Amino acid sequence: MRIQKFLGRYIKHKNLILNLVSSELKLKYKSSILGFFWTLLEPLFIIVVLLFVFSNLFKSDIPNYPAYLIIGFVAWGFFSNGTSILDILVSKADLIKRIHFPRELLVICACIINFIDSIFEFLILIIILFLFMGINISWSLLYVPLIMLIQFFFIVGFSLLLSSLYVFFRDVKHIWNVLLQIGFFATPIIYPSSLLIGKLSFMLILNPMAHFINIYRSTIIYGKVPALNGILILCLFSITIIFVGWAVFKKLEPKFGEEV
Amino acid sequence: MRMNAIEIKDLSKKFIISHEKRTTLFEYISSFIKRKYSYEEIWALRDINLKVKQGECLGIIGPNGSGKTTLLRVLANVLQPTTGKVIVNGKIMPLIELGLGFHSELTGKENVYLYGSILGLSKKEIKDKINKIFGFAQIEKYVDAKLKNYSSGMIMRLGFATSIFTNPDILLVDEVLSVGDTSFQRKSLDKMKEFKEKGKTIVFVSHSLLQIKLVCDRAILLNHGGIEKQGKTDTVVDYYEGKVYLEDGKWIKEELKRKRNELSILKEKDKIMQVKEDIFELSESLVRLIRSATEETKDPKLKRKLIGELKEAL
Repeated sequence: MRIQKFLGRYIKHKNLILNLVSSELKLKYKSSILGFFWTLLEPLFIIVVLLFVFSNLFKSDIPNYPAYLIIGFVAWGFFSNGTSILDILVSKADLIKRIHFPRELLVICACIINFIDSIFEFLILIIILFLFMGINISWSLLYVPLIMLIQFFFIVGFSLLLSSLYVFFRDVKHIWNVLLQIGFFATPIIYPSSLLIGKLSFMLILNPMAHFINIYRSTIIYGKVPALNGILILCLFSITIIFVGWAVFKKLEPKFGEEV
Repeated sequence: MRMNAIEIKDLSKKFIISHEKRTTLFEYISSFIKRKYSYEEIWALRDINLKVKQGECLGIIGPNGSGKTTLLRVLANVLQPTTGKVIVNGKIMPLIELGLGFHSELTGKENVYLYGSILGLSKKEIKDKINKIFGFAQIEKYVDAKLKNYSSGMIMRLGFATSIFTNPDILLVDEVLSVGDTSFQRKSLDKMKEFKEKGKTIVFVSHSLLQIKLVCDRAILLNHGGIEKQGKTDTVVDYYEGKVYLEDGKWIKEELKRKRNELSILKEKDKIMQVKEDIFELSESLVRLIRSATEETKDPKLKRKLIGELKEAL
């Protein structure tokens, strides 16, 4: 019953979510000539550059290293870009100070916009890998959207937590940038996960992003259907962080009107 | 028996203004360790008790910093009360400083869709009303123009029109009318009256006592966060005007005293002339003040008090 009520609240605000997202998207591309095509062109260029650099200049023992690396980059970018919107509440201070509406929608909509960008990135990525790297298109690719959806909720949880903390402590932004940098190197993105063995293996087990990236890789490169318990672990991470983020956000929300 | 649209019980609101700004974590920790909090508590609202009946229009008057805007923001559920309770029955719509939440790169129409959805309208409702909204704001020609090409008055009118067409049960109006030109002000006042006739509730904050008198049935005077006076609009406005007359009178009195002292010291002829002229002007404005005070104040007791005090100044 509670879940029904909870969801009902958001269905009621469907129009607001739709308008917030569509107006942000319009704004993003309105003053550029190529407009919407930048959503496709930008990741295309980035991926081609990465592909060129890592298939010619750097060599590694990892099979399919360029593909391995780029998937890591894109999946990490999904997370780091998504959580970098932590100043969204402060930037909409005018609105928050004057009108009451569910403030979490601002955060969720910013995450949706990032989600849309990442969908295009993954799409381009898979097409390029198919054309140039000899990766097979298989049914298992249908799991990619599912994993992305789980990662989306993971990002929403983090964003709720960070954006509400940022209202009260503006250091959060700098601290988070540092943590993202550390996270990037603590996650097997440019090196193989086999480096993290023995004492370091905890870094692999406790790092949600490592789990996400691993599953993306095995699904896209090797066409493997992800194991059920692998997906359950991802869900567990997402649900945990959503609960934490939600609890903190709701706890701090009443004070937003004064502090933004 | 009509229901209460708004019920406020023992409402107080405290703001903590820290002297050293503590928005970074480091500052927070350092001030915590030093055990040195340098802050000021400001009670923006103190023990407010108020009931507004459905279909009633309540005017709120008071000097700057008396808590009018804070009260509206608490009613709009943007600020949380420090103590006390606010019960609102019905859909409440604030019209506070409009034009916010608008994007200059989007067209007027797109902005109305966005703003309307923030205010809780569905897509269909906005579609049905969009022509009326632009019509009321008198900018039908610019529906598809980018908002950055609008004048500030146009943006303000569009904001007012959008909020008023959301069909709320309770309308909170804060000074918005002072921004528009007189014809738009009249139109807005008419719209507010129409609202009232439909049995809707209005809380109206304004510095224009005339507007308050025109629309409101009842008024409260806020001062330093407390209700100094409440009752029928005419009584409260009279009281407030009387207070303002008295303060003005006091100021003129002081000024006259100062000028007279100055006069006794001065020796140069042209400067004496100047000061004498000033004194003459001040006395004249005092006389004018007495005249308008006697003409406009209806309460005989207040009238006597006013005249007595002001005449003493002469």
